[in-house]
Amino acid sequence: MSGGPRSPDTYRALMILEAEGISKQFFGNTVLSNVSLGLEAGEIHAIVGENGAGKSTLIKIIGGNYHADAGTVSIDGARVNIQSQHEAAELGIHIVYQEYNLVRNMTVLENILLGREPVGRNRLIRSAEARNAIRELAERNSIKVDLDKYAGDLSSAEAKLTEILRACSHDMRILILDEPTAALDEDDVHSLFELLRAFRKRGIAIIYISHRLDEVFRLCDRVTVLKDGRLIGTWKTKEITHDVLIRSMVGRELKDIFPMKDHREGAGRTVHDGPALEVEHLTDGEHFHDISFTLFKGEILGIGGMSGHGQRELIRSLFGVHPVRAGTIRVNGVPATFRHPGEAVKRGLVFLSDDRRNEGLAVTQPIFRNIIYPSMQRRSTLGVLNRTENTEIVVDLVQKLRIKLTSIHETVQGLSGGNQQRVVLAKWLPFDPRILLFHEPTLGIDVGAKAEIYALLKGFANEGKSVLMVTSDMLELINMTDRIIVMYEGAVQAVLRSAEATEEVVMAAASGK
Amino acid sequence: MGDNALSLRAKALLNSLVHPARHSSRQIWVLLLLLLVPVAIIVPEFFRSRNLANVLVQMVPLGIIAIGQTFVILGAGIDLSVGAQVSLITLVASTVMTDSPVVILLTVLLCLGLGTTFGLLNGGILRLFPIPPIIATLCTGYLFQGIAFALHKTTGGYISPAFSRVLTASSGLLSFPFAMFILLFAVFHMVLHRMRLGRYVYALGGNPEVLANTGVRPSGVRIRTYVISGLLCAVAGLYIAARLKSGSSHYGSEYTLLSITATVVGGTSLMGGLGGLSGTLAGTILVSMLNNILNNVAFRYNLQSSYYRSIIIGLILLMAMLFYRKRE
Repeated sequence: MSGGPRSPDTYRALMILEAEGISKQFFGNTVLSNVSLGLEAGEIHAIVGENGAGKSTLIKIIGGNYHADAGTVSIDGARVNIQSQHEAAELGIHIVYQEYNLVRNMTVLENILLGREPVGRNRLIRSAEARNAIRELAERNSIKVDLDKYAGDLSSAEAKLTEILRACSHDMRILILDEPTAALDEDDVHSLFELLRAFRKRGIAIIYISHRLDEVFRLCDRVTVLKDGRLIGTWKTKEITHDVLIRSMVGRELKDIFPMKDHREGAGRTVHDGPALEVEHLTDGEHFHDISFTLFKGEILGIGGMSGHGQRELIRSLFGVHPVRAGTIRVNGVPATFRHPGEAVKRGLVFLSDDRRNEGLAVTQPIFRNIIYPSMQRRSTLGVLNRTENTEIVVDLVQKLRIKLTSIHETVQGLSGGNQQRVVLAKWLPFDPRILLFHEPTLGIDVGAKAEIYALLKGFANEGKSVLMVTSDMLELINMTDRIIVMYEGAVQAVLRSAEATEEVVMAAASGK
Repeated sequence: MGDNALSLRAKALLNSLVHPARHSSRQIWVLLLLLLVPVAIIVPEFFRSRNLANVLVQMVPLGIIAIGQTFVILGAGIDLSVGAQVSLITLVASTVMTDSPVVILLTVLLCLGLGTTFGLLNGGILRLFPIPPIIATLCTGYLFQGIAFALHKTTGGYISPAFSRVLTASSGLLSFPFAMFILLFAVFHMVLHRMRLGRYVYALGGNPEVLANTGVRPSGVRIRTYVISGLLCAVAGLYIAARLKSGSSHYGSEYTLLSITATVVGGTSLMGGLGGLSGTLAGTILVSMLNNILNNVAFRYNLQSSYYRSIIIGLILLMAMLFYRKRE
């Protein structure tokens, strides 16, 4: 991008996409209100904001998945009325959604060609020709992905690249990426950024949605902030600081989000309280090996590292979900082997999965049932639930955890990520857990709600409970824990005291150094 | 070194047997070949050319119907109405047909038109109403069966001997019906693997949303799978009517579940998107072969073969499900 100030007129001339006065309501809730966004050719434009700020709705309107109640979208100054994702694609607008958007049982090539397979006069697909064209395209853009691999076998990074390659194979003018790096490790993020910068050079306009503000500063030229469906403003990234950006998003600063800093000296105390969970030489024979650590009472222990280095399997094995080959686990000094989660719960362990919607909750069921499910057997007479007693318990928990809801009989799927996570917590609390295992405790939860989840975690630790959390959120890993274990290739690469840990040290350990 | 390479290869082979590739039907074919050994020992008469010719002819209706069922199941649907469709076609054919070549031709066209209509009805219901395919086709199955009962209470009607002769013509191992089946198989194999419709069927079974986002209407693809199923039911119904020289409201009954069995045993996933026609061919051969063998054995010991047949087909289906479970 050429720097320097431009007059409003030249800006206007360069605008490839203009969305003006966009408003959208869902069932009477205003999700977007009079939001405008201008996109220049050859810029990477970040959209940031908390969950529920309206980012996804905005790009879905631009991408043809939703229709705006009011407002206009123009391309090259001409108004367009985009009715579907397909029509958006024909206008050169391509969206790579956060969710997986490929047909798993088809190959990369088949996915890219889907819907516009080149056919000959005999109506047979001209496979060889199409393959060569796509392979050339991939090489030209230095996208490395095996065209014959089934989409279901791709890593997150390969899947994103496939979707980007699919976009490239059209006449792409605008590329919209929604949280593309959520599941990528540092190397993949780096090559993705290289690719996006190359697109920028070719004049393609990119909208980049991310929760990771460091990425916004590293990659993007401008940033637009949305809050509660309203436009807060658009800045050049060079002209705004990290803290100002966060404040404009949430009205808080970083130090307000994490309740830990003042509590750091307390980390020493935990050792006196004795061990809650002792893990020795734990091995599953495939994903992790020879893992030993101790989790103390009242401690928050973080497990970090790039995704896919055994953290997921490790935390699942502690709860009896993932099988262990060798090694010992002791809970309060007593050996424990959990063949299934029920045994772990009996010994005071609970687990909050990173896949909340599938493993943590029955999303189509009411909040009441979700909370009561695990403790149902205890609280029934001859198999019949005691409804009054249970209702009291649920209402108690809802108040204690401050879950925002209109009724305990509404379904979980309508709740925000933060409230859903609290429902998962609520279902475990009746067991009075001593050890809480969190996998990505704040995944898909916006900044404001994160702070409240952190306060809850801190509260548990202060009560003498132990928290073990696997997280890919660097700020959370460093600022929320007493100690950090960094895993690399299935082994413990480093154990750090959080007070002394920096992002650089953690990153170095996570890459095996 | 050599030993090592050998053991690696053995391991790879074992691995490929335990974790079948997505579209591969190699396992079922291997199983089929392996099965021939005990068959040769226990029921040597199976391999007599007369019996083999018989098996090849007997498998034709099931094979044809199972092609359609495979298209439907690959698209994450199911067609529970195929049996009733086939019965109804045999009845219509045997009611309308005379010896006049023109009428014979018109009857064939009428039946093919009816099959298409059945498919449009099944697919159309699924486009209009948000109900699962299993329920929609259960309903239409009852509907078709009811019409069949109303049309004819007993077996009967008239099928022109000339028509019958042509459709059942055979010499040695070669026969018209088997040739017709192989031709249909080849055509639909081409449609499934080398034409757009085939790709869309896999996408429909795998992720209809992605398909819709490319501008292809999933419900349109679904309708086409049911039309293929209906058309092939019509072909099978015409052949059955020709072979039995009559029509009946129960001629098609067994094919509903048998076609699903052949498809699933052949490795096509009931969730859609996985599998293919080659597996269905193997599944059809397996089911037909067992049928024939059981008949042979039952004849030898003077037993009622249909009881054992049900038990064994049930067991095979169970084993197939366990075998393919790992893949998903």
